[in-house]
Amino acid sequence: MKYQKIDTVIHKLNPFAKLSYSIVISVLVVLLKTPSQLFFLATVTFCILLLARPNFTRLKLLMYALGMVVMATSISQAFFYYFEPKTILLTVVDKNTPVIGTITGGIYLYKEGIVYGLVQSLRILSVMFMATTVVISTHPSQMIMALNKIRIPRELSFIIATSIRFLPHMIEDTKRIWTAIKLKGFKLNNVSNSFKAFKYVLSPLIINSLRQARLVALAAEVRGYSFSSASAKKRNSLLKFNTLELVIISFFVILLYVAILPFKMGLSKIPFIHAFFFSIPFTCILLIGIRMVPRMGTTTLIILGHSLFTQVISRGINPLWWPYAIAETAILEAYFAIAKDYLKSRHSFIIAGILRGFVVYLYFYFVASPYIWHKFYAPWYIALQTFQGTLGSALGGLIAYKVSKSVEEAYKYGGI
Amino acid sequence: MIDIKNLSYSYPLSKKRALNDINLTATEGDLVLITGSSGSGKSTLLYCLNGLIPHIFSGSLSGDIKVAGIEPKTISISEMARKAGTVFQNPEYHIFMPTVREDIEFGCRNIGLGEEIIVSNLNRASLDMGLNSLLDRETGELSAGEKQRLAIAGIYAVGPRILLFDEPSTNLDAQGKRSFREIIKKLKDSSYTIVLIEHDTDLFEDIATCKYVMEEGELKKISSIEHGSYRDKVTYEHHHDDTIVIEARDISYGYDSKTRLFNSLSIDIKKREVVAFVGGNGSGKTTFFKLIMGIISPQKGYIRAGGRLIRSINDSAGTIGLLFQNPDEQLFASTVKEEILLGPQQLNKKCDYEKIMARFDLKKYENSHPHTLSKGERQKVAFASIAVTRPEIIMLDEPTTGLDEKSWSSLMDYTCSLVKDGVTILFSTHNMKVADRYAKRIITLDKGKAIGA
Repeated sequence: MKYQKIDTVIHKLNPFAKLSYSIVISVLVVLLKTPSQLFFLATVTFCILLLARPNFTRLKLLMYALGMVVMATSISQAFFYYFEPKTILLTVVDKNTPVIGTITGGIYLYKEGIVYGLVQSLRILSVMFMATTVVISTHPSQMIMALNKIRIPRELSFIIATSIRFLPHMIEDTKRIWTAIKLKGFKLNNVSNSFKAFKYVLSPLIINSLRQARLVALAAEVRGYSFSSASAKKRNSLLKFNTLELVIISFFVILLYVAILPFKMGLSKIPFIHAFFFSIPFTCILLIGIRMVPRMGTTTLIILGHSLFTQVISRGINPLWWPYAIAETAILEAYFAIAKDYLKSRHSFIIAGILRGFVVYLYFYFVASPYIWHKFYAPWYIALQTFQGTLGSALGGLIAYKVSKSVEEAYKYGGI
Repeated sequence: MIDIKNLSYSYPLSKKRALNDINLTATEGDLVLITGSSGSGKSTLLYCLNGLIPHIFSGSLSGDIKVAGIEPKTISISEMARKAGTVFQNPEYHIFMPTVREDIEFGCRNIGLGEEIIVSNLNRASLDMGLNSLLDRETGELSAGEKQRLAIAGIYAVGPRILLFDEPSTNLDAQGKRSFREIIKKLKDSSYTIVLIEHDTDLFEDIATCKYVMEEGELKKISSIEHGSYRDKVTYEHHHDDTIVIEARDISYGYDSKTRLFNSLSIDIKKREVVAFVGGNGSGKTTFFKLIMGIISPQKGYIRAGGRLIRSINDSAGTIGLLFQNPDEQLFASTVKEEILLGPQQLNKKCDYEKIMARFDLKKYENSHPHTLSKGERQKVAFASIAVTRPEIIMLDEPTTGLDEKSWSSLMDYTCSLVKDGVTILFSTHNMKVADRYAKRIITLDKGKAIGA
């Protein structure tokens, strides 16, 4: 979803009011319990969305996406429904089947689960309606101003603003580099070739980003926007990043967003192994970013910056997504501080990858899913998903190690 | 306004002096034109004038430098911005805000001007740079020339009396260059002191008050600019055959349904031709190349190239080679050797590695990281990695941008030497000198029409 430049009651609202609206809906999503309450919430948020006059084709796309969400939720809950009483509609794996039956305790489709899933998906619908309303009616720069009013750190707001400014530019660059690798004769028709191409593409993508970051930072300096000057150093900030470091961090925030774009456009439909594929590019770019600005605070700025940036431009500011970012940030910063090592060796890349994958997926299945979305999964399924998410992250870490070695060589010998 | 005596500087970790014993003076109304090959130290000199050296770049600096009567090292970069404003090569990187108005105000706010002064400076800057009707436009939607003017306006609004430009006309087409020249002339006439670093010296030679050339960190005053040894039009031993290698028929293409970039465009190109595509920014040169490569598909019509109907990149990969405007975007490997061998491996083609390395004089860089080479050499590696797959057609998108004449002549010389092997060459350029010297035929793209096709 993107900002639409039209004039409606909602567009005229103060961005601060819309920020408050997001927070109220998020709280209600967690608090409301009964089907009728949830139905009411979804209806209200949908009516408010209509007031913002979403463009018809976009609305159709949104409805299609929401249809998929509702279907996925009701199917998954039909399998994993654990309340009583329950009626078996279909037996996929009998609990007496050797091995699989023993591990899973049998896989059955329950009638009550379908209804439960439909009701619970109203929570996701309400959040999506709310987010869409805010995103299509608020220009990103208005939202940044609202965020500045609630005093988010100046570094973070600089990162979000710079990311918004250079996103279209970076998308173009990325497209051209993908074209270039295809022109080399790479056929992206199988997994191993695609991996190889991904590894090759990262090197020019990141080296170019660093070159551009340097030019952008110099331009910011000569325009008087500085984090390096004496007055800036006096500021009461724990972080003390200089302009170049912040521009580099902004570029990695954009790269993280660009890396997950393919997943928004259809790859996320791959059932079961989605967690694996999603984790690879995300972890890889995150860790290369940390390696490029190896100090305390970088992880926090990249992860929180990415979370806020995607919320400002497409998901809507939403406190429900924040705990993910905070959990991920906390575990990585803690690891780097304790190990006193900002990704100097191959094993620290892999450990960092494993830690983030493990924590993020455990958070989802043990906290977000049961307490926010009221969705439940069988232990074997949680184990399987966490395992492949963690495996993907570890693999992402390994690729990050290889690419950052090449990038650093270019750096060391004056290529950047 | 500018007074430099015996200035020397070397970057940290570098033994070589980037600037060696520089002397330069300029007063109000002076236009100082500095030329010289890439990497000779021109930009480094600007960094000394605007305070980036020593505030951002450490390293060893000696000698005296006074800008508007002040030593840059004694005040901060943002205070220096009020004395001497800098506009870098790519205006894209100068623009930070979503609208033209906010972006012009951005610099003023950063240095802490009061609201009233900001309003009057905004009005003056937008009027003088011809942006007053565009104030509420989104910066992302501006044309290349408008972005350039916005970059200048943002610096100018802060109120410096000295303006420093680093290769400002690089991304402009002929018309953009002319209007940029007018701006410079106007600024000079209002007694601004201007330092202008430029490859395309023809444009400013007559209005410059003094001219310098930078060579290996040494600044030499010259009376007139040498235009290299003037070279005649290249003559080709091999005439083109009658075989048509690129056949574009009735091509219609537009980014959306309303605006059509091309409307039933037909172009035939014969084997061994060398064709230059010229035309202003946005006339569709790059788009036409993308169509030939199958990167995008025409809404109507078809393209055949190298005997194949082009429907996607898969049809052109290996048959057509494309050198990007920014060759860095096509350097993937961690050594030059790996880079050169990557294409033949993927395309399952045999290649004569040693021959290509010798021909492009790259053997000495075999184990270097391609991105550590100079810009001209990086372009050469990118080109060699295309040539090694022996494509029938080679296309170069704006190959001269940001390169000095020596570098681009050497690239164009070896590109055009491939004609004798039966290769057909297409290139796009803003630089008429290149088109005149190398092309057998020039096609001008203008308003969806191809003149000379």
